[in-house]
Amino acid sequence: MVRFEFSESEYPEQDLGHIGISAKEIVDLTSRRRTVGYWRSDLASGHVYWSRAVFDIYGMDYTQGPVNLTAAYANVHREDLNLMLELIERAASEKIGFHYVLRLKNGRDDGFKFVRSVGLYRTTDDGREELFGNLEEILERVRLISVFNTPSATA
Amino acid sequence: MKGHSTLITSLNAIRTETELSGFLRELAAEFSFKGFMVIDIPTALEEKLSPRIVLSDLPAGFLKEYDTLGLLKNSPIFAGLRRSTAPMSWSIDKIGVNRPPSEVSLAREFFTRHSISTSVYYPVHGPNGRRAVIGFLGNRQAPGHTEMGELGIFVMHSYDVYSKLKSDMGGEPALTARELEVLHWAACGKTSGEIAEIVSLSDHTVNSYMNNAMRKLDCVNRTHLVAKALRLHLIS
Repeated sequence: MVRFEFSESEYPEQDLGHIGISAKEIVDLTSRRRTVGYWRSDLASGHVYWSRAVFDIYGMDYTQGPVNLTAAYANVHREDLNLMLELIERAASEKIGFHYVLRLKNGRDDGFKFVRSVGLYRTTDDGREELFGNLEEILERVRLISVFNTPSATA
Repeated sequence: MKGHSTLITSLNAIRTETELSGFLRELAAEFSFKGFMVIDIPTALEEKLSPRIVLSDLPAGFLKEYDTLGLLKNSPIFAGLRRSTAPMSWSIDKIGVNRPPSEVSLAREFFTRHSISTSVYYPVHGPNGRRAVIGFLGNRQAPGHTEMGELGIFVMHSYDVYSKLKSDMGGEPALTARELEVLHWAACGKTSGEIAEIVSLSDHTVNSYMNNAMRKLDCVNRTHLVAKALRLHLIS
């Protein structure tokens, strides 16, 4: 795993009401720049639900209902998987948020891609405990490589 | 030094953890080390070593101070032990390797104050795959290959004795085949109702198996349980 941390930071609430931007529009804006997926984990049942984009990032066929975690985790780099599982264990047992960057199989050659996930803990109105968050592929590194490979960038 | 066969004989006579500690203390002294530690290898996320100590004769103040100084997080030894199964050695001369510059003088002062200039670590594993390390610390020259080999033989047998003692005392409760089967389907995203249909049991029985598994693995919810079971390779 490239990076991990447990998130307890609080951020000032964005006062977007007065400029008239809805939550749906914020999600749409964020998704324009890159593929961002969203997920939710019901701590009591152990079930995890993904948006379509997370399936795309993982290279799995979209399904409704709880995700097949054994199939999903088979795509995680073997050096990162145990750390990711430890992090999820701790987040689920201590009920805290987290942030990680790890490597997923890219499904094309035997290489890997970097993905970032941020998770938060919440209690729903009906008392269910959940972790929820987002997942996105990190593309900056690829763009950087392509910039430095152009002839004008050669020293 | 006693003959190897005599030491192995005394090892086979050990019946308690206290006797094992005594043996390891004697072994440390035979190889001119100050003390020993048997440690469950801490994960990269952990910040304190003390909770991972299984057996040790090092002064309590040493471990407490090590944790207070936060030296585990960037320890090159434990980072290496998580990546490799080969024995490792450390000396105070190499304290700057792989430790952040801000920690180097702190760590050097700590080990110097406790008269530790050399240590060796042997990764070991029990029959259930549990990974641990047996380390010896002291103020002596780094052991050569022959000494490392000799000490390594005793380390392997010592941990085997420890594993047997833990197993006799109850050790880690194993999950039954049914509990593992139910847990596997839960990790595959099946609901309790779907699992009940797959394994031809009632919902109530399936939930009972899941609750048993949670209790045995000391988990607080099913998300915790599934992640822990996958990490321990109980299911895949």
